[in-house]
Amino acid sequence: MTPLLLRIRDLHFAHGTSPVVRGVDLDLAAGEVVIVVGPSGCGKTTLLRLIAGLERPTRGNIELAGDPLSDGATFVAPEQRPLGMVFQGLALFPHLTVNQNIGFGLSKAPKGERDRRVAEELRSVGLEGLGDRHPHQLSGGQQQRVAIARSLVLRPKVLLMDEPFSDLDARTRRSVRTEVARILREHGTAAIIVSHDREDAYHLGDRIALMDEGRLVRVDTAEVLRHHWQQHPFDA
Amino acid sequence: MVNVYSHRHYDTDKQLFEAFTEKTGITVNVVLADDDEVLARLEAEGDKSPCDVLITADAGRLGLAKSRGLLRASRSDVLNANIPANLREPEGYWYGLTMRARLVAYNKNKVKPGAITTYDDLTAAEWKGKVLVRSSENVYNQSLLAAMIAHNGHDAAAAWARGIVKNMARQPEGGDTDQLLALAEGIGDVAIVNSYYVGKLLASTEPEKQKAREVIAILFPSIGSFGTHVNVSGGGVAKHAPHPAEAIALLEYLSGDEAQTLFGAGNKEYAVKTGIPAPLELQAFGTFTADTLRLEALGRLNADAVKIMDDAGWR
Amino acid sequence: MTGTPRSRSSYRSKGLFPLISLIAVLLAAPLLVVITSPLHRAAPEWPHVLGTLLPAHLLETLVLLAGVLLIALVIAVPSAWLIASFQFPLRSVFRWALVLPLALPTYISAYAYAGLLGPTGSISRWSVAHGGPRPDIVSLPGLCVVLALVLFPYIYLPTRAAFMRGMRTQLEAARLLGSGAVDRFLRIALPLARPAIAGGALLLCMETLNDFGAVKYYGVRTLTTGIFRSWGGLYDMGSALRLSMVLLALIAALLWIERRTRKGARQTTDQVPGVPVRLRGTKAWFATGWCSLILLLSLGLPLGRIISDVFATLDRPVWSDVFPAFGNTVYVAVLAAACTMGIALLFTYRERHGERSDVAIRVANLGYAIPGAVIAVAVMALAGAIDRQGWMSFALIGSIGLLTYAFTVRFLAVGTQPLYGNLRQQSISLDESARLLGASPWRTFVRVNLPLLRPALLVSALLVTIDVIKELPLTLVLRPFNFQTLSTTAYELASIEQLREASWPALLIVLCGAIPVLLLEKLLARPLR
Repeated sequence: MTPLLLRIRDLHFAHGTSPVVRGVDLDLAAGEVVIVVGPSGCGKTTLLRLIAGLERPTRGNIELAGDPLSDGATFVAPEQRPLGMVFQGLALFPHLTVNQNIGFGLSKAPKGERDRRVAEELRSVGLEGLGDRHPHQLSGGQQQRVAIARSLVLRPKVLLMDEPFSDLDARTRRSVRTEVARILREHGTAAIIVSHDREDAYHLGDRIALMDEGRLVRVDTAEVLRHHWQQHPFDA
Repeated sequence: MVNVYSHRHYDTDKQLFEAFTEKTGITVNVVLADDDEVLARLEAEGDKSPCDVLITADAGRLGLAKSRGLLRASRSDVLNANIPANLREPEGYWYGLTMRARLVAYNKNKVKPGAITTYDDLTAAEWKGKVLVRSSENVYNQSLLAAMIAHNGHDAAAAWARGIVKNMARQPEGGDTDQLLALAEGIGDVAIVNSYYVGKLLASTEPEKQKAREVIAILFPSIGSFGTHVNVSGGGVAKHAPHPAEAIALLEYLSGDEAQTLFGAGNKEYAVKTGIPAPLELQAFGTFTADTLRLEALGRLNADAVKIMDDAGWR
Repeated sequence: MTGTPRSRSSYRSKGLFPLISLIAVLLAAPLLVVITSPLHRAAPEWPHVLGTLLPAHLLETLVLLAGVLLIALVIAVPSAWLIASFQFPLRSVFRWALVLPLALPTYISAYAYAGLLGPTGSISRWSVAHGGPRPDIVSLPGLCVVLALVLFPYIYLPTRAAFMRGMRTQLEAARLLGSGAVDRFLRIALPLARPAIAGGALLLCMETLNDFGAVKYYGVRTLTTGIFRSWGGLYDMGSALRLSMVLLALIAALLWIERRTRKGARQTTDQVPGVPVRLRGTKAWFATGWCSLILLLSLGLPLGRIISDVFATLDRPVWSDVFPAFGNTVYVAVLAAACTMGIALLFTYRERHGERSDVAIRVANLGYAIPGAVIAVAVMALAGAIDRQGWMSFALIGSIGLLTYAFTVRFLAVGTQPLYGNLRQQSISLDESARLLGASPWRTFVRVNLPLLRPALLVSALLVTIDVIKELPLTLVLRPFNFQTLSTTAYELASIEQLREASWPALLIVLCGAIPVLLLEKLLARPLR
């Protein structure tokens, strides 16, 4: 059995008095891609933000490669977590070039090394030659890849992605999805991808977690759920 | 009624206008404005102007108003009797109503009474870094310099201005009262100020002016042999005045005993009418010989004075 | 200004447009008078002014601008960042309190500081008495500090808004990329906030150039005082008008610089405000301390001085003057705000639904760049000419209508800018849908644009009201008979060296101005949509 990378136990989060995440348990193995699917408002984005450290859980643990990220005693700041995140809307830095965006997290590395790694990453996501452009000069799909490259260049243990394809039209969506799958596989990075679209789940995930009203109602492999949905198309 | 444009901002004026209304039944409407805006307003209004009386705080502006055709000549035996000839315009265009001397205040503990007799003395080497005076922006300094030009000529006046700048204790800041307060703090030894500011300081009961009250004395310097520079605050009837008779009535009232005394008691200004005693606070310092220069020269030479001060670096 | 070329309505415009253009020309008239003055006005003293006056005044103006801007940036930007990003003791108070200095006119603060730290001020005297140095704030450097302390909210407000709204996800993304607080501030927040900072800096510079009361009292020679000196001391209106042109050229340069700054930056779309991070320990106290210090210096000291002066003069009968002045101030402010907002709305309508941008409207919006005193003089000249011709049955000069007109000329841009900004965010397709359904441009404006404009309308009205309450030179020159406002009363008392009595109208101005400022703050704090 592949080693357990991320361990989430009994995670709770409440906004004031209304609970948003109610006791989530989730495991992630190295290199695995899990898709969290659910309707809007079910708490999946919040779940992602809790893992990233952008919110503090009210209860529960998050452990990465044996080290606690968040439990009763400790809370590791997002800056220190070896995680990457691609936000909904991508959050590219509009005032920086593609190269500068990708190299942003490498500011402590010497210039030569930084340039090398940026160029390498640029190549691996298929954006060679576009390094000096600004984000607004790229297509939606290209921007998507910059966002991923920006996180991956730092070699995170897990990549978190929040609705990565929602801003794209149907055709771009398909091709970008395939691209993302390939990139993740080549890098061997584990990922948790949040989406409201089942198609993403079909095509991307090793395992699929269905979320509703703050809980994971079902977690299974892609094949099983694919089969289930074919039988019961209108289930969650 | 009578409409007054004034740039005197003193409480005494208000009291006097109210007293005038009580006595004669004529209402007084007042527009207060800053120095030059009053003149500009009059000019812009032209013959539609509702102004009856123009009152200024210095003679220069009165001369200017006349030269720009903003005033009319008005005859009044009362005014001619009350006001000495050199303090009013000969054809009756304007009449001085109060007099102020620009004198030297000094720190009793540091300066001997006889040390300064002329304004020129202030430019001597011994006063380097000791002279306090306000900015050249202010019309009282401009008038003083204009009087010097009139008496001694352009070059002598320019030399005096340069001499003062060299001797300044600090770059000009604040008004006349600020110079007096600085004097008390030891920032300078002598200050050029208007007489009524000294009077007001001495009459004030404010605690932080206490120190100033204790150390300040005044002397009356002279322009050469001509006497101490004086200026008047005065008024004239506007050229297109809708109520000329009431205007003259107001001016006559202001030149009368009652008003002249109140100027002294309330605002510490010297009267123009002979026979009215000097303000109480200034009496201790004695009398002085006033310069008898015709004050219309002040307006004529004002621009030259400003230019001289600009060139001398008097801020 | 109202979107890309594609967004200009291509429908034929009629009806109100000619009238609106006429109004715009009327409002642009004073500026035109100034600019064409060499053609219709001789300037006999110009050689002297050019050779002696101009170099000194221009230099000091530039030094003053640089000084005030620098100090204000140091005050405003870190404060905006602290308030936007962190949670620390008293933050919720500082958030609106740091806007309050807007209610304090520059000259009032300058007088108060002179009374405290001038050569004979109370703090100075105390220092000397205890063997310390004698501070003298009444100087160019001192003025830079005093003005910066009063005017920094012009930068603080838009910068805080940019930090809070314009970059949340970028900042979070940066965190996930390993960027610490300082690094985020320098590499993400500041660059993204640059247009907002530049916009605020521009307003601050214009306010500094417009100031007359404080500059005069502190003996600093700016172009504005030079204009008065030419007009008053040299009796040369022509030279004064030419100096005005130099001043306008300087302002044009500033406008150009601001536009260049804005161009280079890329914009992010409006975002949900971020969640402030709670600070702990020394960091929290540092933040609280910093904000407290600023409040103390910009508000606490001057207000304290004013209030103590009020108590010191309780026995003097100032109230009988102050009460009518208070009424007049309110009257004039409401009138001017109503007129300005009405016209601002008409202009907004024209800009949105007209084919081409109206040049006259653009020129009319420049009134804010012209110092109040210059507008007053130009308006006087215009009105005087009309009065002399006898075209109207009543005299224009001295009428409240003329004063209102002058205020509108001066503060139009304060009214239109928030409206234009709001309008930019209204998609043109809203208009086009309405037009397709058969609505006329006017109806579209009233039914579609106007309801969405409402928050901006309130902001504009409040800004104009605050400005009119504080305004000085224009009011001094153009007011009617027996008409004192709080600002003219304060100024006159100070100029006859009755600074302590001036504290009464000063205090009322601050209170009057504080209410709209607080309302404004509440409005701006509300999340959009």
